[in-house]
Amino acid sequence: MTILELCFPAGRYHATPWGRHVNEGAVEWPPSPWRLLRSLIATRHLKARTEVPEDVLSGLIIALASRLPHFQLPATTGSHTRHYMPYVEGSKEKTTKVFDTFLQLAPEDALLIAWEVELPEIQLEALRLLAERMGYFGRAESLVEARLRKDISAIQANAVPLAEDEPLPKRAELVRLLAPVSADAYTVWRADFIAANAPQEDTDGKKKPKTKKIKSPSVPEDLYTALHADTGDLQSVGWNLPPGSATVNYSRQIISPASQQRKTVSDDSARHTVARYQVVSKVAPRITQAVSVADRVHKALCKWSDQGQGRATVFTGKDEHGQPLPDHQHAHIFCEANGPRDAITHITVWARMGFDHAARLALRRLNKVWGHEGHDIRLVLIGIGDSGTFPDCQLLGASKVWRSLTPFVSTLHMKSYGDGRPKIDVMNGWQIGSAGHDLKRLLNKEDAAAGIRQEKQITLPNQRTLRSLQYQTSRPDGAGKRGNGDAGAFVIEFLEPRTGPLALGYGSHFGLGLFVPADHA
Amino acid sequence: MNLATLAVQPRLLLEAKLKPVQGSRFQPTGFPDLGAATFDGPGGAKMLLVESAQSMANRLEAVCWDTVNNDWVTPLKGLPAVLVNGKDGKPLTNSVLEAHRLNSPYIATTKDFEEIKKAIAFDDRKPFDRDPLLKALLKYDVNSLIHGIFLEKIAGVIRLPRALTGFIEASEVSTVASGGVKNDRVRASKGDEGQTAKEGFGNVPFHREEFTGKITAFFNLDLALIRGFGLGTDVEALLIAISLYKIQKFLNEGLRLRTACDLDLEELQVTRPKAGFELPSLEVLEKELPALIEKAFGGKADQRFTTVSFDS
Repeated sequence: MTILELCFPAGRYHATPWGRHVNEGAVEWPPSPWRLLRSLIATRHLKARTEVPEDVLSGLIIALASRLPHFQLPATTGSHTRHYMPYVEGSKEKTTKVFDTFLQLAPEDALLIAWEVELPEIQLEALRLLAERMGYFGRAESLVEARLRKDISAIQANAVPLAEDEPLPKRAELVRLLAPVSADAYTVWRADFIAANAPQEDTDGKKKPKTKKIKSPSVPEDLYTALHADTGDLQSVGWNLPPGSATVNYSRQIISPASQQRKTVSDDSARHTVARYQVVSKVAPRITQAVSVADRVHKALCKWSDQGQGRATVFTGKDEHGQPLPDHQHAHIFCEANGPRDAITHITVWARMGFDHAARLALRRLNKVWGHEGHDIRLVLIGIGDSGTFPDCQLLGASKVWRSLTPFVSTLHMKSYGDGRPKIDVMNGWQIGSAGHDLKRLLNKEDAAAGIRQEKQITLPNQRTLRSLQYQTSRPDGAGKRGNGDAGAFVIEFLEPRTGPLALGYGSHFGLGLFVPADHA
Repeated sequence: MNLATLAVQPRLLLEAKLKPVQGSRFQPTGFPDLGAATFDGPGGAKMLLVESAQSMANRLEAVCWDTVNNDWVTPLKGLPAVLVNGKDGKPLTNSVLEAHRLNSPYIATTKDFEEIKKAIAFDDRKPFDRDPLLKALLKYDVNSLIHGIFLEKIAGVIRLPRALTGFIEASEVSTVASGGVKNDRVRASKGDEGQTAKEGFGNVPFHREEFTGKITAFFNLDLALIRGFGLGTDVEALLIAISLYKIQKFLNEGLRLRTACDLDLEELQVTRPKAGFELPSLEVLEKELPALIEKAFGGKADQRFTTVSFDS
């Protein structure tokens, strides 16, 4: 194993991939094997002509070209600047605007490159010397300190070659890099290329006259010579790839940007549990669509919380093994209608387990979810705190009497006898599996003394009324234990004041089965 | 001045801590469409590019030139450079101040440039030989050996990377947003056509964005590249001394980058090599440079300028 370490003392790495325009803002990361070998060659010709004989360099390059390297990439963040670059046209100097895109990384963080080759001592020494004398890598602003690592025998690769028929691993992205072919493959390719491009002869043995005089591309004798070709010359004669090179697939693990790996000083034991948004859309959705809106908010939060380490547990409700979290401690998304009509005015995200750093980042980034007919639902984060932070949020208040804001949907199937008569629970008089029966069952786990009664309509805080049937009572997709959809509006009475939020039944994490204190309603 | 420690070092790295001369605010370089170039550094620290490598190259050259006398500053007198005169025979520009040095259109498009082109000896039928280029640069424009050159006016392969790189960054930055109003004492509101803010009438509000933070200038001298030129130890010593002179002179005199970015040197430290090299002061460099120039170019010479005429 031959391992090279590259550190960037200026903290920046600039390199544009082959075939991409500088103003595309693309950065070649990991650096292509082609670039690596050419930079070793350039370093020798510029700085080590006397110490490294050409035959030693050629042997080193051929050996390194025989294997695709593996990379251990440090965390990076991307940024760019823009410059007006002068260029000469005739006798005038004009300017053109160019982007200078770069990756920012810590000067002490190393990029490790490993080739599965054992080099003879003379080539190892040449590589050590060339690495030490490498001044920059990529663009000239990309200052580098490189060294041969003899003290380690392996790296923790996070960017590796990917075979054509190999599927891309999870949490990885495909990167196409320019790499040299092996010396033997080059010899075969060159012979085929020359044969295919030889001047054709007529049957009488005379060469066909050229119809168009163009400069034909010359083909370098061997791979080592091919790696010397000037990019401008190659492009001017029409090579779309340098002779002796091929684009190869690499699988690059998705690494969180360095800026998002910063340590937080937050005390997890005092995590915030509530985030509250105001809906500011011109066309706000109705409270009857609460489950659908909450579902969209949930999807957005899952997406934004994925900082390369997977989606935040508090939003997925599943642990690292994919198992559901116990006790409903993960996020609930509640919609409220506190305005004069039945439009959703606020969205509150509550999680008993609290929001970690990634979750808080996601909550801050969330500013809209899609809406119907091109009207996105725009959200403004009022704040992230705990139950005492938002005194205007009725859901978080305390009361003995709680009334439905959205229908309670049973998680059980209603039971009947063969002749159609409902099966009644003798303990409370509700049909088994009905909404009332299921609500009582769930309440018994918390407070067996709590009483319930069903109401014909749901009364909003502004005294407008809606029927349960007007509400959407199932999630557009996603799992969740749901019976045959029996739903209803209820009032719950506790013996002692109970602090909210209170959400029960099917879809309770998505705004269904939500109750508000009756003295507010 | 003892440069012996650097003989086996591949590079010399310097870091200079800077601070605003007065107050705590400063104004960074503005980039087209971007304004200030802020970015997230490692660990999430807010970073800011105060001065780019290209801009620093211009500044490191500017401190070497006496524009009043159209000559090198005193310690560097005797170094080669290309002067450009206009139609009227008066100084127009020169290779030290031009952004692209010898590749400037005011130099590379002149008839007199043929002499330099001939010395570079580029033959498009052969692989490019760098040695004639290095010798030509030493003879005509020694500054290009330090700051690099790309002579695309002759051929795209004629390139030399820069040996001296500098840039200035700030970390832990905060934005200072302020502004004001240009008051019109006579009439506050804009008038009819011809008497609007464009012509300077009426009150004109403006905004200003400045920054605070820890400012550091970084310098990198590629010693292996200078040795790789193969121009001899005297020239190597001269190129290193000129580079150190540029850095010291810039830190002493060139830190007024913009009206609202006037900086002062707090501390200058050598980060590579980690020990054993003492950075010579500006006074020492000024004293020793004339002898180094004499040694490198052999014999005294008041001036080693090549003059070209730009007639367009």
